[in-house]
Amino acid sequence: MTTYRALALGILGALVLALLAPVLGDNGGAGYSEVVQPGLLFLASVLSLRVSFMYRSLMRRLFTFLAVFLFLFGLVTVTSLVDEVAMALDDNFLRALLGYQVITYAFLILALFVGVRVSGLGKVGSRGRIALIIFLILAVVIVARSFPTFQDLADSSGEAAAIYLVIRVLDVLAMVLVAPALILFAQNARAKHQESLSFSVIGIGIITSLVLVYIYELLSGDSLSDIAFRDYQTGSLLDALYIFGYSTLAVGIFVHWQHQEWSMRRVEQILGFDGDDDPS
Amino acid sequence: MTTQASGTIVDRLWSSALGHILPESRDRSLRPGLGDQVDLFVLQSATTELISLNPGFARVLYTSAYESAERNAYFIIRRLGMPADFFWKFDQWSEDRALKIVRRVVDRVFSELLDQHNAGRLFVESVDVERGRFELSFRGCAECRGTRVSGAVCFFHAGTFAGILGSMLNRTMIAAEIECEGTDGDQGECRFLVGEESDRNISARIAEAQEESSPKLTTGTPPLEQSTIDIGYYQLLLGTVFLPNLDLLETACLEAGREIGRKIAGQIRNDMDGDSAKQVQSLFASMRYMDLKIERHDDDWLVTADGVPESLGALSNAAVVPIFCGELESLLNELGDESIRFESVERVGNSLLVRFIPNI
Repeated sequence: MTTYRALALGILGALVLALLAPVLGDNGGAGYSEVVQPGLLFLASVLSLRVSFMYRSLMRRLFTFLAVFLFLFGLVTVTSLVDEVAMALDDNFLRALLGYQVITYAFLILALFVGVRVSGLGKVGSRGRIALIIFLILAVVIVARSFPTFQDLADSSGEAAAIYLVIRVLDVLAMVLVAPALILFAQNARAKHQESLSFSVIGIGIITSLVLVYIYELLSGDSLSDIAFRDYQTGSLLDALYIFGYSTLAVGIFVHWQHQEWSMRRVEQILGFDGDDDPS
Repeated sequence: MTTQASGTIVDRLWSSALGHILPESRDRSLRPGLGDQVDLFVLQSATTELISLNPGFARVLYTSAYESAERNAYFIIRRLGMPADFFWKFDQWSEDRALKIVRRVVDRVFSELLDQHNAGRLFVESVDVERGRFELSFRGCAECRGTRVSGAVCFFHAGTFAGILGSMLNRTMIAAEIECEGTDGDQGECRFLVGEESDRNISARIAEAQEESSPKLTTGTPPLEQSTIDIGYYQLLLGTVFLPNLDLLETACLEAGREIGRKIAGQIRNDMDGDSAKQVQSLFASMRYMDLKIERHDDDWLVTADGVPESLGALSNAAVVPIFCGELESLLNELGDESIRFESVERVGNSLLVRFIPNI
């Protein structure tokens, strides 16, 4: 197995997993999405924690923060749990959700901050700048798109409207923060001594997991609350997109974990060491 | 010889060394007649004599080995399919992972490469990721195996190991020999401390060893029983150290060869049986060094040498390193009853023709 092959197979597998949701549709698509979405995030969290033990210092922190983020993010995709908490907290639910989201994203932002710091990859090139501008425009459009719903909500509850806007801004902010790191890693994918490919896939997974719903909102023309009510964890195309994003993230982390072992085995095969004892 | 030309030859030598560990090219022989092994005395006497005669040679040996290994180790692991980012963020690796992975790469690639050349086996004993330090042990070291040496001698290996690790980790490394099999024979191995350029402890040890080095080799009479080395490794040392510095080292090589020849002659003179030419031919054949045909032409001596490691394979287009010419001169002088001196060496087909003229 090579890293490239593993990534290709992993992304193909992610696609299959994702397509299963709309294929199942009314015949179990909802149940499938309810299990697979949090399952993938928890899996990615465990993998990230495992990867953190491969490192020390900043890299260990990076993967630990990412593991915590994925775990917290995974918890809110367990619908039954969220429903129970919502019932228990009643009016305070939205405020609690906002606090929870701030804490969750704080871990992601910490991970990204450490990631950019540890990579020390230099400046973004001209293509990277164009990609960054596209990300910024997308961010502005996503935020702007929320204003009609925000105004509707503001008429009935100012607090709910504010929370709605803050959650969206946090999602977009996370995307804007991931983007430069992703571009820098992609830029260095072929550089000597730079492990960038699996990192880029992890970055793509994070971005897709965070902002796909907003892109879906833009493309469908419906409001987010309508989409959430109608499409979320029902075996819809939106579920497929989420599953694809989470799977990609898990694949990226898994490949990062196995990259060295696969590479070493390949060398050993070339040298005719098949099946010999590991000297370490 | 230009730096670029000698660099190309050295790269070819590394490439050929890599061939020794690839299953499909393991059986290729460079010297079908004499075989690919040469007596260890050939290598050991050359390096130690040059270090003893030239105080600056230890540094040349170390630096050349470092540069050559650093440039080629990276290409070797890339040619074996290892990705360029294999050691990414090594300074952030856990100690356990660093030891396991470095040990595995060194064992599978570089230790195997040395072992296949009968040059020794390298082990990674410990890794200190935070300080960027490695402790290596080297068993069966070709530079000092079976000898008694007073003073440090394994500068080629120190430079090579620092170059290999430096190349893998993309940083400048230095290495000092902290125990030598030749000096502390009971250990059965040499030990090296490899660290980053800024490591003052290691750089101080290197400076001390290089300044104080004046090894006196004590070994048996050649050929050394059961002690041979693959000529590919001998060629790697010749190509790495001598070719890039031949302008500086040509006279030193000739003089070192003369000194080695005098020592051998002193050891075998009492057992002489027959004429000196036959004795020298027999000696070189027993060391599996080369096939010699020594002829007298009027006042000159013409020596036709076949299977000379200094002129085979990747070295076939290189300038000849004249250590053996000095050896022949001394042996013919000391064992015969005439006084001659080395005049020239030229390539004729696959042979080398060495001319000696009367010493007037």
